[in-house]
Amino acid sequence: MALAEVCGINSFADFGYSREKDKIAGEIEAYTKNFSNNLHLAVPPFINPAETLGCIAAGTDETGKHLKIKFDHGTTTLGFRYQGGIVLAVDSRATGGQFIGSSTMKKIVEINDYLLGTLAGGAADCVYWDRVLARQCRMYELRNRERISIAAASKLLSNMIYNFKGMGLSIGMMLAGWDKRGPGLYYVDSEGTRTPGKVFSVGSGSVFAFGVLDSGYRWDLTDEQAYELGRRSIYHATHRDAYSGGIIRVYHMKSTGWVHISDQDSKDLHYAYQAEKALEQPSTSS
Amino acid sequence: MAHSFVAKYRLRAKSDVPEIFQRRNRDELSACIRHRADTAAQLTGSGWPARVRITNQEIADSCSRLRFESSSAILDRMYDPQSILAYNGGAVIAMKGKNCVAIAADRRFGIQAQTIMCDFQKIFEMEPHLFISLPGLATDTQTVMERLRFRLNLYELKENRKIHPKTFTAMVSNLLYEKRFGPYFVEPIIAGLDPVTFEPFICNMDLIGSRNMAEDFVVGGTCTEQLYGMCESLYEPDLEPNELFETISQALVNAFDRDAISGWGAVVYIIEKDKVTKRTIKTRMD
Amino acid sequence: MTSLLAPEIPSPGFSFDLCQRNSALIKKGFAAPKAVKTGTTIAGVVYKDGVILGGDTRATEDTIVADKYSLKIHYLAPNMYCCGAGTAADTEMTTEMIASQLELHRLNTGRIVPVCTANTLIKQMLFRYQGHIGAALILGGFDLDGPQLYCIYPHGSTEKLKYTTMGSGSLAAMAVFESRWRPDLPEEEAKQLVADAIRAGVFNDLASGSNVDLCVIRKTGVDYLRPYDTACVKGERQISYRYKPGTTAVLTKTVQPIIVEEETVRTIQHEAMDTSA
Repeated sequence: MALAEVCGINSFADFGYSREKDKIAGEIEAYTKNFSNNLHLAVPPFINPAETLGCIAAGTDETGKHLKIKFDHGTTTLGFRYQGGIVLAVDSRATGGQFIGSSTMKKIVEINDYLLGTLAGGAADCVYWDRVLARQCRMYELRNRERISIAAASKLLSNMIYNFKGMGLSIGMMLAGWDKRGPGLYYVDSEGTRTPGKVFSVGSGSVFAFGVLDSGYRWDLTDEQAYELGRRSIYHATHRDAYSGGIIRVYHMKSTGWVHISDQDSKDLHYAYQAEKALEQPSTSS
Repeated sequence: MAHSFVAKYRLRAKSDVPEIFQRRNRDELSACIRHRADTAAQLTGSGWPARVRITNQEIADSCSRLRFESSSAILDRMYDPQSILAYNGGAVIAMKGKNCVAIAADRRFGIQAQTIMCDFQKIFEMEPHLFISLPGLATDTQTVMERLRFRLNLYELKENRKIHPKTFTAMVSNLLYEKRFGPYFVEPIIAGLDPVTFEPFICNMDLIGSRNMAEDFVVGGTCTEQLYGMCESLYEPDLEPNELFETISQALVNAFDRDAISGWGAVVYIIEKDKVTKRTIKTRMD
Repeated sequence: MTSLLAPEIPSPGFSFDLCQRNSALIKKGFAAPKAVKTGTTIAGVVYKDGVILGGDTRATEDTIVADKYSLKIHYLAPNMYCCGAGTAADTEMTTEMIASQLELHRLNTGRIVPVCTANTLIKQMLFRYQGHIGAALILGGFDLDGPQLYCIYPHGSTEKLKYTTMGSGSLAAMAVFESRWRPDLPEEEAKQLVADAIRAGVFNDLASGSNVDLCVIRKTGVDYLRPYDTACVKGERQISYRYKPGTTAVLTKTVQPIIVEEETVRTIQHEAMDTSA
């Protein structure tokens, strides 16, 4: 052991591993807490985990060295309230850097018959917390014999993820639902924001989507007009934003629960819209 | 032994060691190491092999320092800070056929995520039988093209004959190598027919002019992995012009459909002895 | 003809015009692209009647194989060849430049250029650029003093050796030489030895691959064997993925016919160049 000491190897750190198998069971339990309590993710035993995990989430360590685990979160999602309820529309592209990992991702999660969530940010983060939320909502229903309100559901979600603020969760969600107070649309993100509203768009393509959405939005849209507005907004975002694309999905939240309206390939939509435009202005087609 | 004493002393005297780690016993330390490995595996995303490099010095210094070392080269490429060559995006292929060559490129001009134009010219006619494409940074694409055109005009005035593709390649290579220590960010692709024998010729280069005169196909741009994959599986020697068109188009389109920053239309040139056919093809627009 | 805008003879040497812009871009956080590296195994031996140079044929760009049949044994003079490892463009351009210098030298002096002249030219050039030109070379040739083999490093240091290897696969190749090289090898055995050394690189170094090229330089002449051996045979594709015509939807099609309006043929009397001093 003298050599180890000369080399500065702290022998008790590494070499004692195999002798304490009895400890392992307890440790496994300690570090897989979310199996028994899914609100509780394992965090490293630092004094302030958020400090270090925040560095990692930002893609650098404390010396500023690049850590190579930064994901690009490309998405376009939108939701708006109008006289007929709520329309949600999303794209379906999943990217890792500039590589398109999937073109058919489902970015609207059906939490239950009266509650929908949209995903933007880290896919795993969103899906996991949506799943936890679904469980919480079901528990609420069983305990209270009535459906949870959208306000309560969104607050649950917001509070759950707020515990991990700054540790690298990346979530930008819209929750849409219908409760006894009528339709409800909330925006919740991993920074701690939770706000109700009429018109939201989230993701890298949201600026493009807002351009179309704001110009075409009215409270008294008919259902068909509302679907088309959502669809068109997402289409234009997929066209201009590199990190959005694929299939454009539209959902409608009604008093009777959500209805899936359409799944359309943005390629078909592009050429359909182009043909429409050519019919409207035959002179400008060159 | 004196050394080992000093080493130990230094370790213990380090004042910035958090108190919690000073009184750690060996069980806690080894648990901590294992935990860090687990966290690293979680953070790098499930499925990616991850390795955490931990030295004892590091543990002693501060347990809050995490170093990731990914053994996956793909991960490295995906999350590296974006390359200058990927600022504007683009994808180009050139292929040899039977008494013909084809060169094809996408039509997007974008600035990172934002698509600016869908009819950007990336393939330039230098001679009736000689085409060049310069994927990379768009400003350099145009500058290099103008410089080449200038040098080519001078060559033709001096020599009073059509340039051979090989000579032209040398010209491009020299132009780029001149800027060896401050390069243009373009990776040229050249396709053409010998002006006398009409022998097909294709070539690509890196950004400082290392020539690769291939017998089958060459690719360039931001999705070279995808392009190489498509070409390696689709390419066959001695294709007739119409067959070559299908092969090169499908290779290009299916490759850039997996890349976020190229696509938005494509243009294909088939160069034969007596004619050049230019086709624009229908692609996804997202 | 000469004007400021279009000089007849462009100014020689490197241009550093873009350095400032490029470093500004890099400071903004964009990564500088990587140039093609040869990622190579190259080797050379002196045998009984001459020199044998060998190289693999893979060029890599990061993790991508950029060229499967790249040429790494470059021509310098009729009696001299040079293997290159390192940055592909640097090895190509350096050897081309030196080749023209040697030819001029031969025309000036009117005799076979000794290999040591090439060695000096290369090392002087590389030293001037302090290793920024990433060319690691093995220079081999045959002159009045017999077979010569030099090993030249990117910073400009050189060694005169009987057997040597370079590139990322040099350790694997050197292991073969260290165990089997001996003075005055017969030609066939020497060829086998060099090919085995390159193969060791091809199979043990990920950045080397494809074929084995050899170049045998003797007093009587040069044998350029490309490929000497196909070390890695590509698997054969079982299915043809040929698309039916009409699969790709065409939006617009323009056909530009190329019509030759005039053709003049000028016959040039071939006249031997005067190369006598």
